[in-house]
Amino acid sequence: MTHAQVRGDPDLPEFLWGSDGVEDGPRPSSPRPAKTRPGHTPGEAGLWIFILGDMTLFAAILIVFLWERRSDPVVFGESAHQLIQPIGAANTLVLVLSSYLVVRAVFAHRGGRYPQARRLVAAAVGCAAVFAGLKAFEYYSEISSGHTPSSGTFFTFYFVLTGLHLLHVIVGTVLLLAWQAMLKGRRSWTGSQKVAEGIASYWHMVDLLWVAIFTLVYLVSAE
Amino acid sequence: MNGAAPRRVTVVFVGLVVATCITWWLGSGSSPTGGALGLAAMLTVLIAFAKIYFIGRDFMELRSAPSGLRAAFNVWVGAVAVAAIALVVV
Repeated sequence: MTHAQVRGDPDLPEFLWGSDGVEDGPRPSSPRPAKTRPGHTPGEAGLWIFILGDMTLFAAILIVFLWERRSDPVVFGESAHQLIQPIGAANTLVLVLSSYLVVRAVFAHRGGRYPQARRLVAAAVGCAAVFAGLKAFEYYSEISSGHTPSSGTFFTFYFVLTGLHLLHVIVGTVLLLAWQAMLKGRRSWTGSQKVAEGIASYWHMVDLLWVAIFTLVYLVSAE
Repeated sequence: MNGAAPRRVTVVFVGLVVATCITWWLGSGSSPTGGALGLAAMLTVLIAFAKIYFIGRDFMELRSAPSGLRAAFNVWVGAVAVAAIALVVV
């Protein structure tokens, strides 16, 4: 989407109305009817097929997990109690914080505030490192206690879900570092909008998937 | 415009942190639901998927996305939430 297309859309932030010097048209005097607004797709449209598909894959695994739990809730409950809930909760807060930092980085990049955007992306990468470190400690604790992927259905699902998610965290971290390199080169928002928004959307997907995993595997299964 | 994120984003962030603490508390077994584990589990799942909805709406900026994309995301959130509650509670 170009700036000309988004100019004047009352649902978008004001700086997309042309205050960056690319477009300097008048602001709308009244909002247009909702049905005529085209909307703004964050990042490439094709990326959203991947994001929604990935979310659906995780949802399918989680639903099968809950289905299996129904056949043996006692064993699942005992197994879930072996997980270190405080680490899962801390990791949820760390990812929520990283998502917030990424949102602010997007706005800073849009406003041409490159040093601030770089600091925010660096802080998000730091959060990812904390998440991975806590996850590594959790895996170490579980495996030391004799809980491995072959320890039963619960732990098979636990390692598959959290392992796949950790893989997404690693990919997301690489993408965040690529975004930071773009910011270091002071790539303008106009030239990097779709890439930056796509990376941000991917990272938010990593965050929301963890919210679902923490809730259903760590909390609900232990109740 | 200085490129600062709108206040709404910060409000959503604070709400997500508070909601995370509430779900953890509900899941810890010290909540006032007593022995009503089904109720605690349902509330935990509902709050979690509300969090996911707001992450999509305000962090992913689906609030201003085309209606088809917004609808696809909302259907995902609603369908998975309903399926999870059904499998956990019913």
